[in-house]
Amino acid sequence: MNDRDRARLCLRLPGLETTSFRISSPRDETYNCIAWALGETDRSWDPEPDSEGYWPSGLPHDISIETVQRLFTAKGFVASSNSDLEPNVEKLALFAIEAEFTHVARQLPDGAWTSKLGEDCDIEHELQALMTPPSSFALWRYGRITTYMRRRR
Amino acid sequence: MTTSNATTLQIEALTAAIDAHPLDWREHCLGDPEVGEAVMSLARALQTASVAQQTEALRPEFNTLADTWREETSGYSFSAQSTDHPAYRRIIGMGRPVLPLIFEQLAEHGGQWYVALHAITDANPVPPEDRGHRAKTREAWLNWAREHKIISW
Repeated sequence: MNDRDRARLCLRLPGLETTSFRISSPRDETYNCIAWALGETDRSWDPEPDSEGYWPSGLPHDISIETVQRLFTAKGFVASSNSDLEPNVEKLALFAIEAEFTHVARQLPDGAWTSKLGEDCDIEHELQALMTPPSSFALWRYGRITTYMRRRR
Repeated sequence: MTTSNATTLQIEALTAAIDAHPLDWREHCLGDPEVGEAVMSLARALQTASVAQQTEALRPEFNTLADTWREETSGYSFSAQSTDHPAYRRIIGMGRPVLPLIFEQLAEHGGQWYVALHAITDANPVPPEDRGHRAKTREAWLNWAREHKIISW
C-alpha cells in the first residue's frame, strides 16, 4: 500500500489513521459489502429497484438494520453477543446510523476483519477503525456497530 | 468526422436543397414526399444539434459534480446512501442533455449511475435475471443508449 492510498482512505475513514490496516484488493464495483460478507465477488446487492442491484424476493426494499439482519438470517447467521474469535465460527459486524444499515464487516479465521468499502477496495482492518468518531469530518460515515451475527464456517 | 460536424454538413445540404427549390417549400411539402422528408430531416438535425450544444455546455459542471460525488460516496454499498448526495441530485436535474455525459462516465469508470438514468429516461432495459451483475447492466444501458441514438460509439 502506498502513502497516497493510505492517505486517501484515512481521509474518508479517519478511524483507520491510528490503526493497522492493509488494502487487500483494487477498486472494484462488481460487488459490495453485503456480497463480500457472504463470500461473493460477482454481484452487488441493493434494495433500491432503480439501482439495478440484486435483492432477494420477499425482503422489504429498504435499508433498515432489521431488513439486513433478515437477509443474513436467511443465509444461516444468527445473532451473536460479541465479536470474539471462536473456532470454526464466522462472525459479522453490522454498522448503522440510527436504524439505517450502512456497512458490514466479516471476521477472518485469524481474528482480523475484512470489509469491502462500497465500490472501492477491500481492506483488512481492526473492527473499531470503521466506526465514525463523534464530531468527525469523515467523508464516509458508517456510524457504529449495532449488531453482531454468527454462523458455522 | 465528429457528430457535430456531420450534423452541420447535413443541415447545410438540406438548407441548400430547400433554397434551390423553384417553388415555395411549404406549399410543396404537401404534395411532394421527398421535400417533406427533407424538411423533417432538417428539423431532426436541428434538434440533435441543439441537444448536442446543450450537452457540451453542461460538461464542465457535470465533470466537477461527478468527481465530487464519486469522491464522497464511493465507500457506500447501497444506492440510497450515495444517490441522495446534492451533486447527484443536481446531475439528475440537468435532464436529458446530460445523458451522453453519464454514459461516458458509466463506460469509463462504472459507478452507480442507474438511479439517475431511471429518473431521467424512465427506461428499463436490464432483464431481471441480470440485476446485480454490473458488467451486464452497464452493457444493457449502453446498448439502450445506442438504440436511442444518445451515443454513437
